[in-house]
Parts: sequence; structure tokens; C-alpha cells
Amino acid sequence: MNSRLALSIVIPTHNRAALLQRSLEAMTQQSLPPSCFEVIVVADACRDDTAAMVLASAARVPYRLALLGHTARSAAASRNLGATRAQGDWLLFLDDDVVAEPELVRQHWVARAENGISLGYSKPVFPIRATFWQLSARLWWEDRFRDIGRPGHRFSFRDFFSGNVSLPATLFRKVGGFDPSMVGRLEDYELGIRLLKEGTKFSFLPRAIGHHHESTDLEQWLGRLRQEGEADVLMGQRHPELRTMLFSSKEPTDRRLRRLRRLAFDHPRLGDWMNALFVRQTRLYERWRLRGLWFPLLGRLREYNYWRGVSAAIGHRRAFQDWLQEAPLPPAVAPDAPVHDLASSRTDAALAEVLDLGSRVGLRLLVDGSEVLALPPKPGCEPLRPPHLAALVSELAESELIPALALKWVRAHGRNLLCQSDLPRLI
Amino acid sequence: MAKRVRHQPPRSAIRQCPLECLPQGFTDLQGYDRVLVVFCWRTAVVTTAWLPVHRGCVSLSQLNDVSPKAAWPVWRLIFDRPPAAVPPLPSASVVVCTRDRTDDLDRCLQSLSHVLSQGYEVIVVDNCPSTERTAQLMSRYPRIRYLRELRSGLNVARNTGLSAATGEIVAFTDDDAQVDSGWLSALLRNFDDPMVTAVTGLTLPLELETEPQQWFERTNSFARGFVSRQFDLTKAGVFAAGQVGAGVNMALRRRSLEEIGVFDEALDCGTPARSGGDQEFFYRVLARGHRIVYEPQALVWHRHRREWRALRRTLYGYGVGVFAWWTRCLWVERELGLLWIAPRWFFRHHVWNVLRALLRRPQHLPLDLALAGLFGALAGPCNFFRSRRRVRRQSPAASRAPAVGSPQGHADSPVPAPGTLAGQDLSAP
Repeated sequence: MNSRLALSIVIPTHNRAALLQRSLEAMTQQSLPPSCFEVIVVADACRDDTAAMVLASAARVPYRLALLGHTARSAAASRNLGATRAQGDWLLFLDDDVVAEPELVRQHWVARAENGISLGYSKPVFPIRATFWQLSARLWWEDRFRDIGRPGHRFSFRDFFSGNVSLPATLFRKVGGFDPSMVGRLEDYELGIRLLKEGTKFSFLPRAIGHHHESTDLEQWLGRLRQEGEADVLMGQRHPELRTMLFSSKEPTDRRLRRLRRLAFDHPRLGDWMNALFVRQTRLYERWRLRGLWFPLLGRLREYNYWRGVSAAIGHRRAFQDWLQEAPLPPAVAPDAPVHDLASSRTDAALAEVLDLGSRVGLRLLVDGSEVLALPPKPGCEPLRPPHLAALVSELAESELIPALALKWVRAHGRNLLCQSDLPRLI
Repeated sequence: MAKRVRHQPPRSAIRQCPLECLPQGFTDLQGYDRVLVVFCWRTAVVTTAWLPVHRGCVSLSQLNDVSPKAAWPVWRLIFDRPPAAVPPLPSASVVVCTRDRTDDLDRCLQSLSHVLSQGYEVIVVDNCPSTERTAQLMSRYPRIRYLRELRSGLNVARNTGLSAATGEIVAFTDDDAQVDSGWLSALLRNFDDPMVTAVTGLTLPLELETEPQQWFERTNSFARGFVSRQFDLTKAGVFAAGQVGAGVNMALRRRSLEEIGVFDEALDCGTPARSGGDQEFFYRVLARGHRIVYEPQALVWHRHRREWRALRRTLYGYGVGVFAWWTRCLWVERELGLLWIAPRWFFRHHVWNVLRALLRRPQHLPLDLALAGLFGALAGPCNFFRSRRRVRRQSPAASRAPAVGSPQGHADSPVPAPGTLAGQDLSAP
């Protein structure tokens, strides 16, 4: 037996004894020897028989199982508490509704060699007769993990999910752990920002599979969206450099959605009444299986509830706009930013150096001497590395790089070309 | 119906044309009036074009004039290339359902020889045969598993094939089709996404010698374009299952059938519902939140019906099939949206075609074909219920045909274990 435990698994829970028992049961099936890890259950304001169940399991299970209890009503605080009592050098955070496959802990244990943050793959599991919302949520989650698993994916704070993730305990303590003042689920993202500022490397473990038994439905999700709106404001206050980025991607796209945003800011009572009406309408549409009407309504509900959360955190619309104006401008490409020619052959080390500098001050991409793309620094993202560049180039080739080259070519030869009558044949 | 006299139809040929080295024209087209040129780039078909034939020849300049049409799809192929690390392909079985068509089946099995040599399993399901000829033909293919399903119905045969197959993925093709060399691997490549449950491919005509074949290709072509597409609940209407592809060229993930259910045995050829079994399955895949990919690199050549009578019967069957499976959706799945969609389709498609034929508008469908579709659509709902009663009579234990049972029964019906269906393994030991 190791004198020092390798891995501490922290599972926060709140009144879900049956789910928790299933996930503790899965821990007995792990391919990693049970002497290498311990499990710490943090029961937060539990009123059911969680404590009795965990104590009964502790006598049975082959690994070390500890139970902590407090009443904070916050998963962030529970995880922090669990981390302070952890004896392992590595922390693995799991949710109480995640049932681990036998390889999960071993994969995280092997990934310690990377010395960074390792994300596991949480496969969503919904009930057999899933609702429309659950069906589309499952697609969303699976697509999310597929994106993360693509070679050359550049991790951002939005990829940090605390449901199945491991990191060095020293790093966790250094950045100060989760921030319990963040509402809702966004404490993950907020911790992700701080970890990325430390320059930590992320990696994805596609074989560290946990089955995530989701029971959320539309109305709970709408409540969570409101919390997300509030949390985005908090996050913008704490990290002003992200403020513009956080809200620019959420800008409503058409007039009807913009009207909903105004409703959320100016007439929240009327808006909430309408929200309730819409929710009833979705139930009716779902019973009649009218997907063509249900999906657009979902878009409207999402828009309203997010902005309702923002307005609850910040107040009036004018105040929100002023607050956005105060934010520093999004970073631009510096005049002395490094240049990289895609046609040139740099050594890997030299390229890595240029990219590292480029992710801080911006980077200009050239093809054979002519500029095709300027990449401003992206806050809240990993530093650029060569695989990221390869993925970026193949992604942007069609929309950015080749049009830029074609434009340059037409500018250079255009006058002569246009004189010739056989232009169509040439093209 | 009285045999009608038609003017001499133009005869059409089909030729493949690799874009990497354009051939110096075609000179072997004596007796043809036009040619369908199928442009390929590497292994993928990128576009097709019609060219007129002069004295049995098509010149290089004619090919050069139409080849720029292929530029955009080739461009897409270059930039949509798969990532460098291709995961290993899943295991697969190929199922061919047949009934008394030995000539076609022979050609189909010959084209599947490369699939066999790659080590994949091939299963032929003989559906309610009236003669022993298929069994005799199969004795020439000892490496292919031969099953006999005595209950009539294409979907019954498909379910037999599904339960007998051992691969993780089951690919289907028809006995009147011929698969291309890269067909199976192109289908399998798309299953690396866990949400993908079905993949369909591009189906082109094998020959366009007779007028009915040309009409079929014009009105009911199986081809769905040359660009890969994805379908799911959030992007496509679930009743547009016809746009997704057809059963002649599809592959399914067997594990997902626990959630989706197997093919409904009250539908498709060999039952009063006549067709629509594949479409209804695609509908359930989409409605249960799974994804379907259309992969044009998976190429199958399909021999359309040569005679007018067969074509008329086919179009009548398609009319019946669509309305039969829509009736099932309304009856079993309570899809009220169909009360709006089905009448619209009936008037905008079937009635409209008949009216155009009567008024002799340009490019109109021959009246008998338009009427066949219309009468089929009218008979669809009634035929579905007849077919359902028939299936229940045939198998008193309703659990044997789980996809047809009670409204609750279809979703969580597991894949029947091998041996529960009436399939008999007759392959050589």
C-alpha cells in the first residue's frame, strides 16, 4: 500500500442518497487498485439518509471513504471543503449523479503525467421517454464533448466542467479553489478563468467515461439560465477584460428577440407573466408533438430568461449599457505583433515561441508574404500552440484565408483581367 | 390497362468520368441519344451532367465544358477532409433482403465480393420465396450466410437480418442494387459520433435504357445531392424523412435500437402498406433525438424497373407507403402535426401532378403515373390498418413484433435476441 494516496475524489451531494449510492457502487468496480484513491463525500444540508448510507458503505467498500457534512447550500463550498480534507496530491471532482465506468479513475490517474487539468467525458443519460428539451440537451452535450475532443481544440474557460475533472491539489489551493459567491453553476467557468491565467494546460480524456444521469427539464433549465445571466454579470465585474466578450456573443439576432430583451429589462413583471404563458404553451405543443412550433418558442424563452437574470443582477437597461461602456476595449493586434508565414518552414521550437508571444500580443498570419489573417489575443483561452494553429488554418481556410488570397490576386491582376473578354473561361 | 403507343423515347447511357485524368471523350455510345456523365474525384462522386451524343460519340471539349460544375464539390471535399487521426472502423455486417430475383441478386453479390474479402459478414435474407432458385444461387456463395424468412414483408426480413447480424453496425442494400468499392467504409466512417444512429448514401441509376427508368429517375430519384449533410431533431422536420435517403443504401447502429425499436413489420414491400418502412424508421431515429448523416461517398447503383406496369405499381406503392407510415405516426405516436402536413402534401403533390397532367403543362408527369400516386395516397391509411391486423394475426404474441404493439410498446422494445424471429440459418456450415 502506498504511504501517500495518489488521488482524492471529491463528491458533493444534496439529498440524493439513491443516486449517490449508485456512483459509490461504481467506485468499487474501478480498474485502479482501491489503495491508490480515496473518496470524500461532502453532504450539504442533507435531510435524507445520505449520512447513514455513506457510513454503511464505508464499512463495505474496499477504498477509503470519508463523509463530511455542512450546511452551505453551495456545490462550490462543498468542493472546497472536500479539497481541504483531501490527502491525495491530485483532486478528482465528480458529481453525485455521475456513474463512473471502470476505467475512469485510472485514466485520470495516468493523466497526472501531463501535469495539468484533465477533463473526463460525461455522457448524458436521460430517461427513456425523454422530453423534447432532454433530447436536444443530449445532442448539445455530445456535440460539446466531440468539439473538445477534436485534435487542435483550443480550450477556453467554458470547457471547464466540474462534474468529471482532475487537477493537482497544489494548483487548486494556489488559485484559491472555487468561488462560493458565484451563483448557479458558473463557479466552474470562474475557476476555469483563474486556472487559465496561471497558464495551466488542459487535456481531454475520451476514455474517462462517466454516465451522467440527468433529470433536468425545461423549467429547471430556464431557472439555470437566469442564474447564468447573473453569473455573467458577476464574472464581468471580477474580470473586466472578459466583459465585452461575454456579452457580445449573446447579442440578440433579430427584432423579436431584441424586444424580449427590452421586456426583461424594462417590464420584468409583465415579462415573467409572459414567460409563464410561454412555458404552458411549450407543454401544449409537446403534448401535440408540434416540434416546428416548440423549437422557436424555446429560443424565445432562452433569450428572455438569460436577460432577466442579467437585469436582476444589474438593474436598469441604461445601467447595463453604461457598465458595458466602462469595460476595456477588446484587445487588438499590437503594431509590433509577431508574424508567421504559413508557407515558411520554422522549427517546432521556434514556432511554439512565436505562437506563445502571439497569444499575448496578437499574431499576423501570412501566406507567401501577403497577410491573410490577424489574430488578436483571446482572453480566457489557452496559449496558442502548433496544433491549435493547424486546426485554425483548416477551419478558416474556406471562409478567411483563401478569399483573402484571392482578393489580393485580383487586386494585383484585376485591371488586366477585366480587359480580356475570356475572363469566365480563365476562372 | 390498354397498351399505349408512345413515341420512340430517347435512349440514355451512363458513364463514369474520373476528374484527375479526363478521358478523351466517349466513342462507344452507338444507339444512344444522350449520356449521364458521373464525375468522380478520387473515390467520391462529385456531380453528374447530361450531355447529348453525336453519332455515338461525346468529345473531350463537351466534357471540358461541363466539368467546372464539379469545382465546388471538389473544393468541399478538399477542405472537409477527415482529421489526420482516423479512429478504427467499427465491426459491421451487410444484409441483403431478396425475393425471387436471382439475376439481380447475383450481380449484387458479385459487387459485394470486396466486402467479403475485407472480412465483413454478409447475410442474404430470402423473404418468403416462391421457388428454390435463390437457394440454388446461394450454394455458389458459400461464404455468405443465407437465411430464409417465411413471413412475407421486407421489414420482417430486415428485422431477421438485424437479429442475425453480429456486427456493431448493420448496413443494408437491396437485391436490385450494386455497391461501389468504397461503399461500406464510407458509411462506417460516420459512426465515430455517438449520436449518429443511421447513415445513408448516394444512390445513382445503374441503367437508364427504357423510358420508365428515366421517368423514375426524374420523379423519384434516390440521389440526395453530392454534399454530406446531417439531420437531427433541431435542424430538420422529422417528417422530411424522405430527404434523408432510402433503405437501398443505409447503415444502422445496432445498440441504438434499444431506444428506437426495430423496423415496423406492418410496413414496406410484401405487406398491404407496400413501402415506407425505411422512412418510418428514419422518422423514429430523428424523433428519439438521434442523428442521421447523408454521406454521398457511399455509392450504390440501383437498377430501376424497366417496364411501365412495374413503374406504375412502384409509384402507387410509394403513394400508399407515405400515407401508411404517416397514419402510423398519427395513430401510434400522436403526431398531430400530420393533420396539417399530410393534406398539404396530398394537394400540393398528388393533386397538383394530376392537374398538370390533365392540362398538359410543360414537363408534366404522364397521367397514369400521376393517378397511380394519387390513388395510392388515398388507399394509404386504410392499407396501414389492414396490414397491422394482418401482422397481429400472423404473430399472436404481440411481443414478437414489438414495433407494432401498444403505443407504449414501441419505444423501449429491445432488439429481439437472435433466434426469436422465424429466420432459419441455412448457410453452409
